[in-house]
Amino acid sequence: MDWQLIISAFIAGTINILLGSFVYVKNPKRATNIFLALMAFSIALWNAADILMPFSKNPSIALWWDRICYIGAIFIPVFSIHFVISIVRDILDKNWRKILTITYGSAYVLLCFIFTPFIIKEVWLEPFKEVPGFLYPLFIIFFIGYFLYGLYILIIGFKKSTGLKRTQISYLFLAYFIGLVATVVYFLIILQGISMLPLHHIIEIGYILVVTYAIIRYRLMDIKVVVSRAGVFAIVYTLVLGIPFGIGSFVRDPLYKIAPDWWWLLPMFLLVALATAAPFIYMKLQKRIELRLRAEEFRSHEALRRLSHNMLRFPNLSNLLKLIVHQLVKILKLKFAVIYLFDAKDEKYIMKTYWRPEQFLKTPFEPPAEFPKDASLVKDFYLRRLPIVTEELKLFMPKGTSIHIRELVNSLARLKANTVIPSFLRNRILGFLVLSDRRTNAAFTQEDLNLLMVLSNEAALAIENAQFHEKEKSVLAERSRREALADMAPGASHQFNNRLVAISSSAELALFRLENINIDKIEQEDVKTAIKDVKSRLELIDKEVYKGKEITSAILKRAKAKVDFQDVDMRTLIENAYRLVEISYSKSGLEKPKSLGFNITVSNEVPLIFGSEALLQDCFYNLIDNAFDAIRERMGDNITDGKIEVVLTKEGQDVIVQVKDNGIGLTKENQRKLFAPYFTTKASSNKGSGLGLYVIQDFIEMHQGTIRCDSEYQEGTSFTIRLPIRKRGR
Amino acid sequence: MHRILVIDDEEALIKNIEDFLKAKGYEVFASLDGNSGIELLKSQNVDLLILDLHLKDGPSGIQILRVAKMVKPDLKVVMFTGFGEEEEARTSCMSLGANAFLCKPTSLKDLTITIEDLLEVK
Repeated sequence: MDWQLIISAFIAGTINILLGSFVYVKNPKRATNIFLALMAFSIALWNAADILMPFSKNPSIALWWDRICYIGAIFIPVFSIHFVISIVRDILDKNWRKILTITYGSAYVLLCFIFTPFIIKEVWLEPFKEVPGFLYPLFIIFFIGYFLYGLYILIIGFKKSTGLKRTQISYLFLAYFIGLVATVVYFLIILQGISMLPLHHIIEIGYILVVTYAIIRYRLMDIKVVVSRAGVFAIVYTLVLGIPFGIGSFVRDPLYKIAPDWWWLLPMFLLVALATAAPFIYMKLQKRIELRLRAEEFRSHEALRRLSHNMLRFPNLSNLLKLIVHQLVKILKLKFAVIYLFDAKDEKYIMKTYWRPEQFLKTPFEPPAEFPKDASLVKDFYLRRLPIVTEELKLFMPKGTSIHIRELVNSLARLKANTVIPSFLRNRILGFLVLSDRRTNAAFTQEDLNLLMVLSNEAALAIENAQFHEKEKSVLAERSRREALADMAPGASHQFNNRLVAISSSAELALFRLENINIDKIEQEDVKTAIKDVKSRLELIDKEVYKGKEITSAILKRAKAKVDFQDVDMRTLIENAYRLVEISYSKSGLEKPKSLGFNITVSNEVPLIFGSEALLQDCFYNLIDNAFDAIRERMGDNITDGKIEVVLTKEGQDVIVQVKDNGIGLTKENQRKLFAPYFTTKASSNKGSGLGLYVIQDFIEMHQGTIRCDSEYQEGTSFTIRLPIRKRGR
Repeated sequence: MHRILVIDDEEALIKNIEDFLKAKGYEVFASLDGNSGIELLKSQNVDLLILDLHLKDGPSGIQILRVAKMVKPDLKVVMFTGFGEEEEARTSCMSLGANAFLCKPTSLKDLTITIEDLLEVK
């Protein structure tokens, strides 16, 4: 019994059944998978003949088994054609139905003759031999003919396809070529009756493995690489085994004469030496060949790596983004590239940069201006953390899939994207990069995508860096503005004050003169009223001048605000501010409201913050002072239960201070204008230059904090100040 | 009758002060710049000097203050300062012997009160 044949047939058949089932289970609804599985099962059935026949008791049972298994042989080319057609169907428009009908028809015709002696005449068992019938050549023509036709369809398909499909087809082409070799080898065995190593089983395994790989894998390696690796491997190891054996058989006799017991040492030594050297030779050769084969690809990878490295050097955000899209379009030979970035204010992904080379400007295309933060695209990124390749979605997603995937496909279609790559920064998607098809029609390989992922994460860092720079720049600009103001303010306010002095002293002098006139002595009534009128207007001028003075002093204060930062205890600072307000009240002669409660609560461990005591004191002094005024305005001087409440909390990396009062409150309109310069609600009083809250906001912002106002008219006002806890030295 | 010298480069202000103080019964001399001011200080025996810290040209307020105190050590001096300068000015001017500070814009009333205090009138 030919155990070699039985075992190899068993292994090949099992692999076919396993792979066929696997492919089918992967996507039972897809024609490609179905026919690949059917083809694998047919091959397995044919393989079964090599096992069933030797175990048959007599030649007639063996013949019966053989004919059964030949049904598989007839359907291999049929299913393989159907399989190929399912792949190229959407690329080549042809009347596939007709071709399929002919294919299936001819198979059925052959099937009719399977149990006649026309195809297989008889089988011998010892020695094993199949005797072909006179129609057997027809079967060979049928088999090889359809294989060749399959190759032909694949060639045409390859020419017309793009991207992933193109790579897939090239793999199938390789597989069909291998399959053809297996077939030829097999028919040679049958026709010549040569009994040799069951080579066709091994080649057959190669065939089915390549086909399965091409169908199942998402991203296929460049076929040139695969072929060259396999080729080099085969050559190197053939030599490793061949040279010692060759030399061994050649020098055996002379060596045997010299040392009958040790003659094998030399070939053995050679084998060991070569086997040790083989991996290095293989790697070196492989590297050389790949360098030549994939020169273009390596160049582009190198360029991508360089881009990754250089990105961090661009502190200007818009330049950085432009650089990225330009370079990507150039390196990867794209039709366009777009960058979307997350906008924290709008909570959306906004298109930031879009670029395409001139030759593509004619086709009208405008990428969507924005994506919501919960777009299907973004959800998918968070879920899988991988690039989305449109073609893969289309190819591998089963039909009638979830809404999520349909949405995803739709948004990708809107983008005309080939691939979208997320940019992660500390588990947050900072943005994403949209890449078009390549001008070469090639798909992105896994290596390309890996590199692009690295690049996009690197880009996230660079973008953050640029954003930080930009913020810093605006802070610097603000600082220099402040400094310029500080330089200018003393002179300007001095000049302005001098004008005010001139006005007020003139008014005062005029008033003084008028006071010396005894109005009662004047007889004409109109002169009397005129003098009274002039007097009141002069008083008004005097008063207004004092308001003007308050403004200049506020400007000067803001300009001179020295940013002398130190550790500040907020509780003490606010208590001091309150005391100062009280003192100023008693000084101004206004009675401090009798039943006014001031309460300060610290809700948890509030750390010291690094800030300017003077500026913060000023802020809280003004806020508390405003609260006093608001309460007085609501309740008059007869305050019954005015309350000012300050709450201090630590929240994350911030200290939150709330200043609440139950005073008059603000109307919606006034709330809106609250932080505008020169806005005041205290129009009736002398107090309030209107710079208060504007300056407070400014001071808070100097601490990189924020201030918010919530107010209900006739109910009260609450200011919420958020100050970051910062460490000394920043 | 007390004699008062006003040195300030603000013509309108100086005129107003002059008129006002004259009306109040003082003998007033006015000067728009430091140099002629110092001349007046030397030639006229004034009791009180009203001096602006900032003068456009010529010697600065501080320099005039120093000279004035040398010429007449018992001279009372009222300084005019701009806002926010009191603190810095106060220390240096106090050590040089200035008696009072008034922050512009100041009212003539306040000025009179200060002058009356210093000259111990009433």
